[in-house]
Amino acid sequence: MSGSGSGDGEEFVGWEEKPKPYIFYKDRPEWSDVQPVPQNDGPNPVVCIAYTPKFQDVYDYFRAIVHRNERSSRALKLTEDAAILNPANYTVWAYRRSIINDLKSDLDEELKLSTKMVFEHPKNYQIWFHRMAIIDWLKDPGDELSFIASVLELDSKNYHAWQHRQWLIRKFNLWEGELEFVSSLIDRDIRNNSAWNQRYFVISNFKDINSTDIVESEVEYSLNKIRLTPNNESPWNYLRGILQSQCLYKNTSLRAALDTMVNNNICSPFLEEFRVDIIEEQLEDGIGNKDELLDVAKDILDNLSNTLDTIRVNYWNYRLKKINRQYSNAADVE
Amino acid sequence: DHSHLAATYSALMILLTLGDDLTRVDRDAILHTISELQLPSGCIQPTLNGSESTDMRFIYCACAICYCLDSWPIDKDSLCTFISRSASYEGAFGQTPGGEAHSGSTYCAIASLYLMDRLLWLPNTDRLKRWLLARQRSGFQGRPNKDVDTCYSFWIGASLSMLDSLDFVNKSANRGYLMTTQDNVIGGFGKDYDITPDPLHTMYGICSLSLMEEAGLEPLFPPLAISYRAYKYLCQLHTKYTHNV
Repeated sequence: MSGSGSGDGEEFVGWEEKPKPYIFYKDRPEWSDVQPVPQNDGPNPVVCIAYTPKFQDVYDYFRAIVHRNERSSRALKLTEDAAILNPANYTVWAYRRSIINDLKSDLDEELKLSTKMVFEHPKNYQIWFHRMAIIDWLKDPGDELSFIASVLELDSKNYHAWQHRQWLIRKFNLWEGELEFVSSLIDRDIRNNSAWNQRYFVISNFKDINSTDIVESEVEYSLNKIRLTPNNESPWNYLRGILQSQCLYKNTSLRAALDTMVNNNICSPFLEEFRVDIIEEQLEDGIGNKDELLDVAKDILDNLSNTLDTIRVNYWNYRLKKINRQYSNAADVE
Repeated sequence: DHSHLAATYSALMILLTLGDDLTRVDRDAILHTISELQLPSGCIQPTLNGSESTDMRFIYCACAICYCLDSWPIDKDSLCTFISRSASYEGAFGQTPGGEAHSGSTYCAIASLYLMDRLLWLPNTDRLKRWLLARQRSGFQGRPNKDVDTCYSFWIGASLSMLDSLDFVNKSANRGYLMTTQDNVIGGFGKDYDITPDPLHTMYGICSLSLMEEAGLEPLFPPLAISYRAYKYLCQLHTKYTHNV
């Protein structure tokens, strides 16, 4: 499309539309029937917000609309302006929903607006809630999973996105394929704790977390990731989570895997802490040589205090005292 | 605006801090609304007509309000069950069941239980304390493998304090970090080094320093994030309430 003015007096100014001059609501003839309502800041206003004239004008008219309980298409547009000016104003969003409900507005259009706003304000609670309400009304997840995936592309740990995703999956039974999605995110960023959490969400709700096969394969999965990044807290937390109802010292393949790491000189505070926990389990159940176990535990805890995890020295010292108090002979306790 | 639990909580805390006797607060109306805001799941909504997804933040606000007004028009058992269900495999709390464990929601869960005098409902205190302590790098992070941020020094510090485990924190490392987030020209704290200060991070930065007994700061009452002075004042007000509800 090439330029040159058309006959109606409008100038073509390239691909971008010439911005229409903004007209305040108070100057719009189609709104002349409405009396704007100023904000009530009380008799002694403190820490007043310096609203722009444009903001004040839109909200004066929003308050007027609410007072009149008007739910028209012009009111709908007004709520859009108000929401854009302050997306965190929950009253505006709630009122918008009541208008949408009354007018039976196009929900797909609303979803498009929502998409635009999510990308502009990806951590805004009200916008995500509004989106949830629309999808709830639509009773159809549509492309929502891939929408959430695209938000996660921008920020793979966006709490709102993950929360919305869990809601969607539960509501519409979209479990199929989620484990693969989670695995791909972990492959991209092995330290993405949100992805690991989602993995637990899928395994515990969709798979049988009590099945020995599942537990074994998840343990193997975690250990593989741990071998790649031994100082990454996420797979260690996940491993503990998967095994939380189990007795660790009885898990011979796990212990063998950990021993191999130790023999390969893997230096990780998480590995060492795991080893101490296993020893404490054994001590509690009276398994193995108490003195030998205590010696190993003390060495590990000293190592953690002095070298591997010095910021938590107070905690490691406490663990050391506790284990001594509980299991040492009286003469050995400091 | 429709009334909102977070605004109500904030308003009450501000009034206490300013020494107001709360006689002009419509206590009955607030308590009635709170009783209507609880859902069958035990969780509590922030408003009566939908503003945002309900989560641990509003459970906390509701508990703080009930504590302040010295009346509990809610089903504590179902609330505590919801809180327990929100503990993730990591041993700390997400915003909702299934949600990723997060320092903010963990504070909200612990403080809520504390205010209800139900810390015994905590599923696994040892694991929880370790998760909290593991958040320390210099300052504290909100979740594993995420950046530290000034306000987490409070969410984590206060949580540990309520669990009598604040002594395990490396206080000098935390203090050192907080001082880097302070603006040397205009004061105040930002969320991280070289970030513009804001009231929220300033408040929580100061609260964290107070928990660590920073000279010149009043002691803090961790479950409500108000000064101990304001808390004692609240206790005095309680002796004046008639228990109608």
